[in-house]
Amino acid sequence: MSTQQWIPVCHENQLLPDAGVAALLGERQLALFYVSAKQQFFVLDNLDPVTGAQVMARGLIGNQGEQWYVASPLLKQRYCLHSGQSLDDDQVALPSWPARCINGMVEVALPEAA
Amino acid sequence: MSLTRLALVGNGMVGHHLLQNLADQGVLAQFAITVFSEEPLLAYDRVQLTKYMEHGSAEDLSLGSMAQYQAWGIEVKAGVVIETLDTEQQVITASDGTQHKYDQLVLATGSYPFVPPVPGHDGPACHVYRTIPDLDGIKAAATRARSGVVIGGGLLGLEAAKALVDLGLDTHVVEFADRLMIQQLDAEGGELLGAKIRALGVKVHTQKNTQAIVPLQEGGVQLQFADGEVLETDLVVFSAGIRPRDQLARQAGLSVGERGGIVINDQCQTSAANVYAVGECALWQQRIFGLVAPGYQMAKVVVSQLLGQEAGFSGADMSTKLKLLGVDVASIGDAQGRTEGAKSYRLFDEYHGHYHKLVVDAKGEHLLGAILVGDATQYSDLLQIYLNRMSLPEHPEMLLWSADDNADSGVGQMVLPDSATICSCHNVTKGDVVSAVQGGCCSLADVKQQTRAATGCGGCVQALNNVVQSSLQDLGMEVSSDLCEHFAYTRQELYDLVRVEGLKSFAEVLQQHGQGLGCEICKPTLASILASCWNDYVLAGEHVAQQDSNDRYLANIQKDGSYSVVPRVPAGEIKPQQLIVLGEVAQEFGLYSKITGGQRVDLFGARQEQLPAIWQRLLDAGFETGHAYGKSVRTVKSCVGSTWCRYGVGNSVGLALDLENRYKGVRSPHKLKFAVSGCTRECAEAQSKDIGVIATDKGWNLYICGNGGMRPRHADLLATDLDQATLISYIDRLLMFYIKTADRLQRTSTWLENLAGGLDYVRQVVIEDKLGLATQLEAQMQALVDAYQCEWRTTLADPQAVARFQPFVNTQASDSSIVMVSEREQMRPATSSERINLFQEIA
Repeated sequence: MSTQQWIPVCHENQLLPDAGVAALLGERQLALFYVSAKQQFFVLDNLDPVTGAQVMARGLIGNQGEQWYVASPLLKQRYCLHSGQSLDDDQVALPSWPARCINGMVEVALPEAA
Repeated sequence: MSLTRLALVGNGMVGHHLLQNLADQGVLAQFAITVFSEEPLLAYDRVQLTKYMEHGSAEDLSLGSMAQYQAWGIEVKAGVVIETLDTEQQVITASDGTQHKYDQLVLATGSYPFVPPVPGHDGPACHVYRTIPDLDGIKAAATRARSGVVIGGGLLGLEAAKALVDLGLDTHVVEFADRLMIQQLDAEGGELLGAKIRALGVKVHTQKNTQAIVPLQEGGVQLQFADGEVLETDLVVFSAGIRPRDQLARQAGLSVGERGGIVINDQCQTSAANVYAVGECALWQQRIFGLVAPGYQMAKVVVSQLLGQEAGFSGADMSTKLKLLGVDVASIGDAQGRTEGAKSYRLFDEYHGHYHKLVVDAKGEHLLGAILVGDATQYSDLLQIYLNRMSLPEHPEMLLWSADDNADSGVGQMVLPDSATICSCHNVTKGDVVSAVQGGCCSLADVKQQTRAATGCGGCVQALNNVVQSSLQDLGMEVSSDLCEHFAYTRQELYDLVRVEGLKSFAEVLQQHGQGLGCEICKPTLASILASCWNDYVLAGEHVAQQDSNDRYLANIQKDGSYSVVPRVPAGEIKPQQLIVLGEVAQEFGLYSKITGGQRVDLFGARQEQLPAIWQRLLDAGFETGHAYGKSVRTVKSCVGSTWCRYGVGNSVGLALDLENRYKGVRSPHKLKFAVSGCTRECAEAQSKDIGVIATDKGWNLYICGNGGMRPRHADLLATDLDQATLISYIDRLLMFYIKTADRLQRTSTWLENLAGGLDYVRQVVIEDKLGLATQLEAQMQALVDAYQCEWRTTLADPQAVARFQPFVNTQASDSSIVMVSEREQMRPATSSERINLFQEIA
């Protein structure tokens, strides 16, 4: 049974349209993205798995066909905005979480802290 | 099996080519090779001798090097003359007394310049133009001379005249015949060439038979001609043809021709067993070939013979294309129309100063020859038609117009056979190029590297490019030149759209010409194009989301997510107080400091949120942003120049300051590095920069498209002795032309390598203004210069922009993931194992 809870992170006007910003929840860094064309919100882990640096929020977002992604600002590996799955390496994926915007507040659904 | 002892006498271009060929075939191990070189320098590119006059560096021309020959296991005896040859015993004796037995001997002794035996021909004022020492002699003499005369108005004579012009001499050309280049041109062509060269200030004297060269009391000499006229000058250069160097062969009793030359058969064998001759010393069917390409073919034939393979020399095409004193001249096949029944088509364009002539056979079916003066753009097309005996189109006169004027002329439509030679210097056929493309070469530059085509005289680059492009298309790998899936345009097309339609943001361009969200390819590309066109603040609301990692934070992102900071230090000139501030900032913010190659200071390890505070300090101390993060003009490196240096000729720091302050921050397809040297010692290493300037006693020499780094490229000399205003107008034009036409992330060096038409084309656009773009390009650059702003100053004035440097949107906390350790008393990022240890200690 899902024990996730929606946690408010910031106001939507603190996001950068069609780019990312980082947020800190406890020890975890999140990368928040807002795609203005579809008015959709996405949250991935901010940790670039290839370099170990907390930089994913600083990547450029784009699409390959139907797939929307963010490219690492360091070495340009691409990760699906929906699933966190790497587009360049089957073995690699970023943690990803559902996101929504309620009354102007961007919320992310994290599993209940253990 | 014992090794074949191969002796090679002569280490010129052809001799070197033979060795290169053995190396390419991987058969060096079968031979014990000894090379005898009379010149102390190893093989160099004699065809490019005039470049030596321009660059002044023998290394630029060198083909063979001691290290290379050593790696090949070849023994080299430099500065040694072979004095005798005993074909019975198969032994040669060198000037140092040593004797060498050979199994196979190749004579590649080349030729010497013919000096007509007129009285006074051997005086101190008389020179020849053949070797690097000859050129050094001319250079030295020119320092005490005002005027110079070249005797001989042939191809080499005009090259020599160019050298004298470059040396600043009042230059004369004296020719026995009634026109210049009598071997290659007809009366009209020679006449036009003469007129063009006269217009450049060179005095041309035809129908002059020099009878004596008389020394004058006050120095210099007087040339006395058969018609009674005289000409006084300080320096004479003979260029009256070449004669084969066949002394050794004569001494050994080999067959030689009546007028010299070592007789060879189709296998390049001389009359003695196991002795070959190649290049300009060899006489084949009563002919000496004074060009390098036939020599290369002979060298290949000999290599085949040595390896026991069938091969023969069957003559060579003597067609040629050159730029003489800036005038394009080309001659193909039977240019004079001597073949029986030959007819010609001629176009004499007095308005533009072009003369084009086609010689066709009696039936008008095949091209026998051609002459092009003033504009030789059709050369490679015509040469292909001639070499491959392709049927002429119904209206051969169409071929008189250059491809530019007539894109659909017969030439473009005609299909070359695979056997067609594209590059005659390296004997590369169309088939070779096609297989290189099939083997994975995807660009002109790749193919050049792989096949060596267009790396000799470079005359075939246009033809090569056509074959490369059409082969790519045939393969269906028609490398889509679209930028990415979001824009069905090339970078250049997008640039033109942005300019012409006045588009100001990525969103606008995407909406009108693209689809989807964009990507990490097209976003930075368009951000760069927009900045190159309008030079807006890159972090303005409509631009910020498209900036790549570095531009978005106006700093250079490092592996751990921290940033480095590089303030501009124009020309590398820095006040002591500014140095102190740099030190204070580094200390205060705990930054690692390193001096860059571009004469600035790089401060590493800044956290994102520290950047605004660091920049506030730097701006207060008078620094500006250094654009080290941008694909843009970086630095103008300089030496101290004439202000301090005892050798300095020009004020290199002053010019470098002007250049850096003019072009700072101009965004381009890739980064741009400049340098200015105050004399030819070149301490600023300008010839490895995108834009390099070197002071001369008459102004500035401009070098372009050099590169250090991964693929070093020596810069090309674009123009000499410029005043500062002209220099800047050329740089304006060149940079804007590069910005307009280059691919994304293409450095100027690869841009030039891939540009069809190469350096000549750049010269036409930048100097001759062939496209009529010069004024526009200059105005566009001026607009960029006028729109300059220090991006950090603008950023600090905008609280919203400053807020974006906070690492987290939901807290003021700083990023604990960036961890530094100390090494050599400075900070550096912790390695992953160090981080684990550190965290364990804390826990």
